Amino acid sequence: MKFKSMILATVLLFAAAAPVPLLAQTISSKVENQGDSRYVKVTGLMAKERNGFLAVQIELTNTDSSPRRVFWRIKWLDDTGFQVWDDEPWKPALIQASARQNLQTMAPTPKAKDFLIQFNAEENWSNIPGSSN
Amino acid sequence: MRTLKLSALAASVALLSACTATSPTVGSGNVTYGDAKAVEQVTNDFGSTDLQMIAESMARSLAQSVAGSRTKPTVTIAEVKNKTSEYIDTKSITDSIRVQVLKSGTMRFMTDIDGMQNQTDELIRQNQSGLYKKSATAKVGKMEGAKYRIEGNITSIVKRNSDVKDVYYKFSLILTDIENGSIEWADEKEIRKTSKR
Repeated sequence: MKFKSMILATVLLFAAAAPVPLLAQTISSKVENQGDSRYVKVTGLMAKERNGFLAVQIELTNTDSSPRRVFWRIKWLDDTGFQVWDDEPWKPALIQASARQNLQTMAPTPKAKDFLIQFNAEENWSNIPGSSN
Repeated sequence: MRTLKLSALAASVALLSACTATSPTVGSGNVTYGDAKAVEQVTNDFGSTDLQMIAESMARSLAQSVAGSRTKPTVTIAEVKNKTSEYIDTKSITDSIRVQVLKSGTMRFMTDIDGMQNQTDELIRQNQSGLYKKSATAKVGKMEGAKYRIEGNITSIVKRNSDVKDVYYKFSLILTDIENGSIEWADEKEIRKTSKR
């Protein structure tokens, strides 16, 4: 129930950032999970336009009592879903034990009007094609 | 004649379909291509992921800082000093930053000190060799000076004990107005890498 209200809050936040036309309005539609992460999940998303560039804030929650590492990157899309920037490098992030942490990023080009987060927890890292780690 | 053409066509199709059955590689397969965007964790020395994350972070911050300007500011890149104890090709980092900022369409980059020799050589060749028609040569004295200069440094703090090696990198960049010397933008990116020995 709590999670549902969290999603609703996120949807409302997206609605508040009205100038940014987003293709879909739920966390699950914006996150491409690579494997099932047991401990760290995307629990919030915000997007707004700053000087013509789309800014995104991702809230990650770690439910484990140990710090957990995740990897993430964003696919930047135009309003038709066409990818407008090269694949980003995967970025590592350490989420402290039982903590919520925000990651912020900015679109590389004003052409980006939408996004898709690729998310991978360390235990699923081998799922990424071409990764030798 | 028509039968001959049909046979040739059939032979070509057969050849093409035979080609698709094998992968287009040469060699025994000891060499593999990986993902250039994957997180590199081979050692905790400065690596490709560090370069990519720094370039991405700095380029986006820079682009965002000038977004909304009526004209694209002109910029030149000066040196990024490597103050760490290891060899880091800082030119490679600034090259990546320049590529990304240019692709964002927010700034114009003027020839930097490294490119100046080639630039003047080409101007002299076009204007003084007598080989080119006057109407189609790049004129001397038309180069545009940059309004801003980008420079910075990368530092590191390395700590180690018998179990752990910890490396902290800090990459700082500033944008200076060349005419009045004021710093108009600055940002930094921190990276911590820890390895067990």
